[in-house]
Amino acid sequence: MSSRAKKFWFIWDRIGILGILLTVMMIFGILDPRILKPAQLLTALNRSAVSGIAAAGMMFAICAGGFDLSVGSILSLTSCIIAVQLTGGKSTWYAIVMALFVAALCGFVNGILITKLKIQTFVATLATQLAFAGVTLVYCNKAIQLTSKVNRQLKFFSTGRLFGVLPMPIVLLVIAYVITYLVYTFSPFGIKVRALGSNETAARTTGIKADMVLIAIFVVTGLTAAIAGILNTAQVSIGDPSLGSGFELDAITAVVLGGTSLAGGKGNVMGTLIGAILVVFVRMGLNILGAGEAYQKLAVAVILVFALTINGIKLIMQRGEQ
Amino acid sequence: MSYIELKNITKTFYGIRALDNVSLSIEKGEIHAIVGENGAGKSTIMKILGGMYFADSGEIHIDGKKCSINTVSDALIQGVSVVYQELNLMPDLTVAENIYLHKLPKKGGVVVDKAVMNKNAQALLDEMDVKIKATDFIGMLSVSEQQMVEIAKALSHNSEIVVMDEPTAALNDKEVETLYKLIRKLKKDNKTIIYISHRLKEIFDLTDRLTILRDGNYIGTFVTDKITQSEMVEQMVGRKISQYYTTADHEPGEVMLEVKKLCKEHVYEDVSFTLRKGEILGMAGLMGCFREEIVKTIYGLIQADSGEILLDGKKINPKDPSDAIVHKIGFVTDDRKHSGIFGLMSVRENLSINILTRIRTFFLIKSSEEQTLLENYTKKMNMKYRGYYQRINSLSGGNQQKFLLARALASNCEVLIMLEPTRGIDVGAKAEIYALLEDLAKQGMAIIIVSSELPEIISNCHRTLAVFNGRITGEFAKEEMEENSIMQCATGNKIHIGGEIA
Amino acid sequence: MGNKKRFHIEYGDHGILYALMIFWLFLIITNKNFRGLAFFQTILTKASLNAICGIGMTFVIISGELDLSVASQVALNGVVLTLLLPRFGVVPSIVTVLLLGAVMGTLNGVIIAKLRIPAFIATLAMQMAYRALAQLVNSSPVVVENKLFKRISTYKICGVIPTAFLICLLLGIVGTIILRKTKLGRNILAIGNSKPAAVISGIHIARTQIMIYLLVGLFTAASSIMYVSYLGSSNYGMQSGLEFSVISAVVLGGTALKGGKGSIFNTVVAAIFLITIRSAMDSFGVDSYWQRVVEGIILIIAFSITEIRNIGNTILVKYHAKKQLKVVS
Repeated sequence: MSSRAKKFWFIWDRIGILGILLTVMMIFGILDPRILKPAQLLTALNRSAVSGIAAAGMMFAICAGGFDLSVGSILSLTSCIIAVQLTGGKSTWYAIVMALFVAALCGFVNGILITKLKIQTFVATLATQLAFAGVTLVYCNKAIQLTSKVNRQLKFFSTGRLFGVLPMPIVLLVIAYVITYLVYTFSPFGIKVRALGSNETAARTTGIKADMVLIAIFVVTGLTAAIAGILNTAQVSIGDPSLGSGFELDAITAVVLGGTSLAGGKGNVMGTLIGAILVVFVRMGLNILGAGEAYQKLAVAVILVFALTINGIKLIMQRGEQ
Repeated sequence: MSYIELKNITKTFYGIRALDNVSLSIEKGEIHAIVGENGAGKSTIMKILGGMYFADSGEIHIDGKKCSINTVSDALIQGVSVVYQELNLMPDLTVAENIYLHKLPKKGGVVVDKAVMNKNAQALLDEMDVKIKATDFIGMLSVSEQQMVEIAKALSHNSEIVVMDEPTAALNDKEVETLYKLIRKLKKDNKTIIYISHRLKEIFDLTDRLTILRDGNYIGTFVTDKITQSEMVEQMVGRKISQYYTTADHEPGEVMLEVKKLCKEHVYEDVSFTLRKGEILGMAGLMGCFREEIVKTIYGLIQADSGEILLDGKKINPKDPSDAIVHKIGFVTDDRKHSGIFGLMSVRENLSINILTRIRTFFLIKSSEEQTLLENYTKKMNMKYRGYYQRINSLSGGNQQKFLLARALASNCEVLIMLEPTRGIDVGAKAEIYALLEDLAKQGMAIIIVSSELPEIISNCHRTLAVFNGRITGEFAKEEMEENSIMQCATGNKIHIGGEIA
Repeated sequence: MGNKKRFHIEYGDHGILYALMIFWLFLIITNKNFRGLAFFQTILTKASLNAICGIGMTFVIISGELDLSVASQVALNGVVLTLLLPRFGVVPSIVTVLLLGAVMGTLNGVIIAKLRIPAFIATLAMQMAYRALAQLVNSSPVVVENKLFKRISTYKICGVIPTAFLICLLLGIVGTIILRKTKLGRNILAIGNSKPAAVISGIHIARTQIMIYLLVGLFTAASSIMYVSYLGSSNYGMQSGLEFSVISAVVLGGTALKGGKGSIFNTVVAAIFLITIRSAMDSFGVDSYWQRVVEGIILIIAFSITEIRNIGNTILVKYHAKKQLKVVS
């Protein structure tokens, strides 16, 4: 790769996605200044917590060269568990702990399928997406409205403010990304994840316990999906078995936009966060401009294809022909 | 008892004996070379010592104790670390991370101590006197720098026994010097070094003793100072020429293919040669000399940076194999399993895949013509199979190879390129293929054979080229073709083009 | 070589066919709901709708990839179809929808082959795009009035043979001819076996890939026409999750995920098998939500069948080795 190209990608990796976010914000601002009002921007940040947190977990999976397509179903399952437990009279913490436990279990199942039955990550989580969705429906076959009595504590996560000032969703988002950054950069787990994504066979020959790392990754994606689900349920006050339908795409889009390579080995924590915010912002902006849900989905799909293309071009330039 | 004793090691791969009852001993603190041609078994025996392969039978003794080495970790525990030919690095990680992946230094047991890791790695690199930073990403390093990192990896284990398999394959002269210094320092520290290399000069510069393997057999161990290069090559090659029949006695015709000053950065340079109708041209060389890349360029699989290819006087520039097939060039790969056969498809389908346009009417393939094609070639080449529907991956290696050859011939090629024409096939099939090639040549086909088996080249070819490091270092006419001389050029020892130059 | 043996070996093993026959026999004997012509007609019709899409999917899986956008293609095709039907009549609408399917398929193919985006994630993105487009075309369900059109999937020749099944067989034969008897089919098989070998044989990988997704687009469009006809309506959310049933059918029919071999006939038989399982679960009173769990588990088993076999083999080998030791000692 020529040095000019190298410099371009160097800059792009660091601030490219931020630049795109600012450009998009500018464009929307010109089209309708209401979009850039502080209250609106705050709403966007609050909303991006859900997909942002799940994207943080997904980033690890993609860094290792895999995918978790079942996060949407895990989110739905989590939502239903919270709703059913709360309306059944259990305490909020009990419901949360149970939801996290089940999500971790789902991640563990994914991990076993991938490491012991040697199914490719994409295909395995495609199957568990269906299986977990089925389990969700068995558990709770329709949406459950959470009454204000039952919902009081949970609501704190969505409308509450820490120390009376900081909105909880944003706090959770920041905490999630700080943890992600620390784990990714400083922990042995983070390095091993990148090693697996970079060259799995070489990584295995050095003697690291690759299977344990893989299972851990999918437990992580399951847990982040669960946290996202708890947050989402708190925001809409409904436990819904179809809440997470198509959610995996939002998470994956955020990660790819952020510059994490699909081939694995290289992640971009900050980029993933900005990617998540970008997607939410585009949706919100389109909404304000009067474009319905369908246009928003189309926009996300186009953004994803665009991000994948850039990803692919970078990969080809780095690895040379073929 | 020597420090390292390998006793009666046998290893078979898919029916081929890679190592046959090989025993060798290595003394502590010496630099011991393992030499031999391609396929002699050098890498295999070291992979067994290093835990990558498991021997079918035999024992390994280190320092008087019998060892059980089943995995790479076992080998490390026994004090053996290996620098392999194939790079085992993770491009997206830094040098330090690659070196210490399996034992990352930790601060407080949880966080990776990057400072310590980088410091240790840098110390290793500095000791090796290379200008690489521990914080560089592997993907950004050149191949030779990556090779140095592989060596650093092995050194980081601080093992008593260090095995190096072709460590200088990707290194430039200065880096080779650095490696020499390193190896000599290791010797001073009383480490034992096992050194596999084709480069005879290095062997004579560095090593104390050398062991020669040939065709998976142990030939002998010699003190380096007491053997000459020529003697060594003779032992490596060892066969009597009279064992093999000489063919190719007809006269080749006019020039069919002309390659002029073909260059590709980091691959091959200044490659020029001609090929005549009815001529069988051999290309000899050792692993990594880029012979395959040269012929792949002719077939359109690779593009050269500069130079010309002339076919029948006309300039051609095949951009991909379909171009080459149109120009009537045929190609048979050396790796049947991965890039040759369509394993799950039938023999009939494998045969006709190149020429489907010819045997169809209204877009539908005519089975009768496909069958006729199959029957013709079955008769011509004596293929053995149960029925046209049989999956090709259930055929013997020899039969598979015949099908791959037939596939190339089916498109009526006038130039045929074959890589390792008889690798991994039995004696009977070998003879049949040689006879076929001779027949084809007599009928005017121009053939290039790239082979690691010198006897094969000598018995079948009209002319032979020797390739070393992407350059043609030897051209031998029929009378001049002799294993020793060709090998001298293939190892970069001599140059022989239009008279010896040395 | 007798013709029967040739057929058997040439087109792969037919385990799934025997499994289906045994399954049907078992159900007929044990379950009184499982009798009567109408019952089997429904199974065959429903299976045909999936199977037609499965024909296209077989090509993709043979080449070693997956197309996850088929459900959304059906939705987009469906809403366009019901839009055109009242205005332009049966034949022009059908032709337009087939063209639309071809366009979608080609778009998929170009994104995968030219932009070099991995197939599964590219089709995942397109899944969302096509679904969104369907919603934009028409966000409310439409009921089909055209009686002739509705007959396509529901008519039974001589009151016995469902036309849906006949169309499925016909398209299956077309698909099989493409796979076995055309250069395109051979190229697809070759790519699924070994991409490097395919390149050496002069096959253009990118061009063939575009053709594969074009085929999927066409067959999926055909199945969407059948679906709208059968359901008598369309809506933008229709057939959500279809990709699971279709991929299951292909993989259960013996086409391995890593590609290189496959049989359209077996895909059709497997589609019938899966619908039979669904009907059996219905008649045994299994909750529809549990059915999804079962289908997810079936998918997992289908995907891991090679590894399950390996594990089985290793256990067998160890068992035999132990037996040998016993004999010796």
